[in-house]
Amino acid sequence: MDVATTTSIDVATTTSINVAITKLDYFKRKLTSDSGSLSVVIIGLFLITVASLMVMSDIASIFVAKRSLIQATEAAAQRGVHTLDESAYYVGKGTMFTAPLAVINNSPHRTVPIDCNRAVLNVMLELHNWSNDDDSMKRNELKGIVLTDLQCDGTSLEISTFAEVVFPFRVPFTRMDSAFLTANAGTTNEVQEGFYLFGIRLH
Amino acid sequence: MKGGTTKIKRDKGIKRDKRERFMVSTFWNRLSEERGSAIVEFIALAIPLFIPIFMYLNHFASISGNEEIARVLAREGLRAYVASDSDHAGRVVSAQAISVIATHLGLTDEEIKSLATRYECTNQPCFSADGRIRLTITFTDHASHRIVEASAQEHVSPWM
Repeated sequence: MDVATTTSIDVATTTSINVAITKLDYFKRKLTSDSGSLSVVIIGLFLITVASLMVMSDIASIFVAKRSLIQATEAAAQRGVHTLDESAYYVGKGTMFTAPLAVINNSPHRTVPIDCNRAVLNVMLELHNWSNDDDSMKRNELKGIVLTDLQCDGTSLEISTFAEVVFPFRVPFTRMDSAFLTANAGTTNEVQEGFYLFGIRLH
Repeated sequence: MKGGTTKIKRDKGIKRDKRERFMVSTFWNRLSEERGSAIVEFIALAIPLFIPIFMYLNHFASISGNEEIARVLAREGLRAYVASDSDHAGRVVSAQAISVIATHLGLTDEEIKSLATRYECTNQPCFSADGRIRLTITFTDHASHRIVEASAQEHVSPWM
């Protein structure tokens, strides 16, 4: 290798280093300059807003689904409590003086007994009915309604249900796409006051 | 005389040229300087990005709120019907209950006017022992002009 070749290599290296420094300066200037800084802020804010919006939509859908589940549970409890235990209801003997004496003494009505075995069946039928509804009775996000607990003491009924609600959007930055909701409803029978003749209310 | 007029015309032309050149250069200077660029960036980016979000948020809130109200109306309207003494009384009481609840829950006059109820019954007449009744409520959302619908179902007591 002679002197001329070494010099030309040195010149080429120096030129490429200069080009690299110029490019680096250019990028540094671009990075430190203010131009376009607002775009980054706006896009960042936009992403945060979209993420918040998705979370808010999910929370709103949970509230609406919860209301739907409560309605289904109440309807099931109402249907369950209609099962009259006839053998318990028609116990004892009444005379023609029983009703007038009860009115005079202002004695409270007997509680209406519930047939708990039939109540379970009716509750499950009602919940099944609500679960399989594709119309506007139940929210679409709400999956099948499951009966988790039923307490029946013969005069009152309390049921607990459970359902999964699927979010319209997956919660951002997580793997959460559904939640579990529970609802409780209790009900009892009450005798309707009034004077009835052959099933027709006269007073 | 003629030469003087030509000179004046030439002077005017030069002045006009200078003025035009000055205006063009000012315009280019204005375009190339960074003053006010933040406003342009904001308008160009923020408005197309955020306005659809606000529109979505507004419609979503309105629809969600009204659907919740429709569910309450269906549920309470049906309760009023089932707890009444007869079919006629039930329909009257149910309509009154729906109207009062709708007003109290904040539906607008247009939404209340567009309220429609539909009863579906398994037995005829509708108010029969052990019958199943479904009440569907529909009304038009005032903000989005979408139809909001909700239903509720209940069984009439077999011992009525």
